[in-house]
Amino acid sequence: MSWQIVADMREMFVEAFASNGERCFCSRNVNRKDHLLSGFIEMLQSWPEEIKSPSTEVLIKSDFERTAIREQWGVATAFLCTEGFENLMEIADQTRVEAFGFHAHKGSNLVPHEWSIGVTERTRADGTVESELDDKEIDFVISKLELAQIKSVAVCFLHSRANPAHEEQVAKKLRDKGYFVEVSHKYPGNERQRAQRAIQKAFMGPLFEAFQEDIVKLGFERQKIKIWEDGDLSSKKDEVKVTFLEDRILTSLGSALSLSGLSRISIDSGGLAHVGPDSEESEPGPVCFGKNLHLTLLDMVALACRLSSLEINRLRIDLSRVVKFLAPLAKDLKQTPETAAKNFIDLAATNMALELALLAEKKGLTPTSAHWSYDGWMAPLFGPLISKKLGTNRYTVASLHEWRPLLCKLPQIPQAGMTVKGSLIFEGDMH
Amino acid sequence: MNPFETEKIRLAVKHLLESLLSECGHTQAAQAALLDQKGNLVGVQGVNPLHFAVFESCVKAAKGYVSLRPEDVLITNDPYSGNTRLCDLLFVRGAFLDGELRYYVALQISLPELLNRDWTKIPTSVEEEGFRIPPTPLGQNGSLNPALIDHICQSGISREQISGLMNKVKSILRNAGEKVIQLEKTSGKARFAGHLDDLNKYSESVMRKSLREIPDGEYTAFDFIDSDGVESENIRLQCKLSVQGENILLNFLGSSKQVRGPFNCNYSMTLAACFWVLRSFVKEDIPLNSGAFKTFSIEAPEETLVNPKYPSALLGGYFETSKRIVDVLYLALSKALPFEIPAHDGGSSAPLIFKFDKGLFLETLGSGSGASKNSAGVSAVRASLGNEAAQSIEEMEKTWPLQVIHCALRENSGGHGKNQGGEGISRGYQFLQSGRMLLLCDRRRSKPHGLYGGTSGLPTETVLTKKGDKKKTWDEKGIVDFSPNDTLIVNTPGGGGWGKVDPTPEQ
Repeated sequence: MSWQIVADMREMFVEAFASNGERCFCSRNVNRKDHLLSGFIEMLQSWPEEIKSPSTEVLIKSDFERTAIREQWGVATAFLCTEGFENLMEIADQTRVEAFGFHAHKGSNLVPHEWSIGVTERTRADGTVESELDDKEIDFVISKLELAQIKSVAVCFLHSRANPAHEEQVAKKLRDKGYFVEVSHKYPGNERQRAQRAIQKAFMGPLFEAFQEDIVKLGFERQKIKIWEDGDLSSKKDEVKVTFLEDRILTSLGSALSLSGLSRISIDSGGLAHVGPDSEESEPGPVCFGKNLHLTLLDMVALACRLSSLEINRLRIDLSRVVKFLAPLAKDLKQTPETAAKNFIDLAATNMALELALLAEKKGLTPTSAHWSYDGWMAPLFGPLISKKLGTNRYTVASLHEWRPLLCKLPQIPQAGMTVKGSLIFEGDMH
Repeated sequence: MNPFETEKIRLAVKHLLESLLSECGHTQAAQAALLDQKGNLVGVQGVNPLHFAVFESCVKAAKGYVSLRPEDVLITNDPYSGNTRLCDLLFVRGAFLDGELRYYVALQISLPELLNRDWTKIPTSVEEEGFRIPPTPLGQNGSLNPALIDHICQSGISREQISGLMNKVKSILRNAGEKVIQLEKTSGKARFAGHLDDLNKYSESVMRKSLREIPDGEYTAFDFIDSDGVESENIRLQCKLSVQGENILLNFLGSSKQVRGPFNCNYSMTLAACFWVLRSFVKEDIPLNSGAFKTFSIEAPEETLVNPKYPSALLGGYFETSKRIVDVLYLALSKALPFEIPAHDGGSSAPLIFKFDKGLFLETLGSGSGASKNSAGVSAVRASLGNEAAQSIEEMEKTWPLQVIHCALRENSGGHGKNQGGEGISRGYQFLQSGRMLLLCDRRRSKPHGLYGGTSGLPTETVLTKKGDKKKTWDEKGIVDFSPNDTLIVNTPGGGGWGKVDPTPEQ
């Protein structure tokens, strides 16, 4: 069997497994936002040379696309649409983000108003063409894009799912000129959904191509590299087969769910405890990393599990800072900081279990008929906790072996993978 | 209150209602609620805040009609039994434990087909607006009431569609009822009731704390609805906001008597509009329960615009008068909290009802939101009440015999000022088949007000071009026939501007 690498890449960490069915290597490393492959490259250097083979399949799971769109890292992108509908994405579905509040908010746009360009063309609902494209007009639009140094273009014409001819015609002209082009008829949905998808893909596409190119330079075959996004933007996240895990990834903590390690914890003005929905960015990160002023779920995990700098190499964990920040809140609750931390962890697990139960329902399953698979570094802690709340023991935890003993220090957490039937954790002797 | 355990119950109720909406499948046009055995609201989920206030009044009204048995489901769309409008079907089922009714689960789904299709004039009674169904059992012994189905089918909805919908609703309400009983069993009856009580007190206390921002005093404001579509006079809407410590009273004395045209706002909608404004002071994501509604009182004299008597017509009141209530409260609050309240939103949902051979198409559009001290208004948005997603242009063209010519921001429609009001929308339709439309858009004569030197936003404009004729600005509410190739352009209002523009050094 050839080697297969599965890497979970985040801005802060990268975790990866490599296996050929006989041997397995697992590593975790710190990542750098300005060089997203840095952690992975270092990791490869510590593994045998034979893993870096063109026959190795590389599966990379990341949330870079979602983060990049939120933080707007993409390239200068233009949006070509049917004339008269240039404000399609500004108008969007007209809803406000919050149902209440004196100040309405709408989502932000990746393409500035001046680079939403209307093109003379019209296709009817039945796919027949009412108004043909004008080649000269397209040439003029391309000359405008050149002047503005636009790198990438999203194209969405009305009813292009019924007849994609106009989108294809424009895309060919643009590609011939060297533009990265994303057409909307590739995607399902109405014009707004397709346009949004095409814009996001066009915004991020050139960066992902470069990222993939860098992985090829490490010695892997392009066709063997699969990158999938575990945010909302990927349609195939549930279907990637990780052969040596004996089970496919069903869900991923922190991506399928609205909560993550960086979700803020709080007691509101009415005295109710919350985990999320607001969350911190990876920079400045949680309080225990030394910079942030808002406590996060990760801080609660660090404190409750007594994680130390020694145990998470290269990341400084300052538990005294967590205690200092948590103490006033814990005092109001008449609890010790450790007890408060455990309560926040339990609250987060309840919230995640409720979300997963809803997810199961939407897939036509029940919490007990679904087989849950949890990955990510906190999975050995939250996987069993969530499953217990869902009333099931049909779950798999995939995480690095060294996290388990650290995260299973809490007395109420079952020994993940050891006593629960059907669970699987990578063990140390697999090295 | 146990901050963690109570929060878990809040989350559980929220997910239970989300699950109900997800099973129902009408997520863009549905609301779901849980109420206790007395009919007090425990929680509500959905997209449209204008509909959140009706569940308690509907269930309490329904309790007066029928006493629910374990398998019963009640249906109503009656605005005079506390509902929103005739095209919103509201279903209620009891959740029983050992024969005792413990909770009500309720679901409201919008079906525009329930509105009347045969208007020859602007409606002057609710009975002319569509099929009114007072609270009625869906059926007996597991089968649907044939007389009820026949009644609803007169609206043009097929027997299969309505029977399918009702059977589905029965099933999902049963599931939701079982889940809430399970939740109560898991927590223990007394403890669960205690958590729900804590959540009521929590919402009430958080909302009261937020409302303390409004200083004691009396603040009166008024505004107008342009006309009721029958008479051309302006219709006055007035409110005195009285704040005395924790007592907040919204008194609508001084508002016009109920009108003949469909611009009356039933009490539930008046309550919803007032609640929306006061709830907007709260930053926290509080559960919308009876505790939150306890924080203020309304004095809405009977037989007035804001509390009409049956059978006054109501459809435009739902869309437009409710928005004007928000506008009046903004003005009153801007006196109480100078510089803190934004300028007026567009103040119209631009409601248009197109009648084609195949049915009714109900369209509403966003407008500009008002600018405030620190920010410009937002363009093309459901600015206050109502937050349903607009239908996509492609779906509209696939379903109805019309083509959208353009859909754009209405340039320069937002009021000017230090901060600019948001832009409205300009949308053009070309009709491919003859038909009739009911134009209910308000804010044609009056404009969305600017504040502190900011100018007003542009008002609503509708321009109809008949084939071969010149453009005609259609500046009244009413019924208009159209033919193939006629075009209609609707320009929705911009939001008001805020503050005087800083003079340039030359000036």
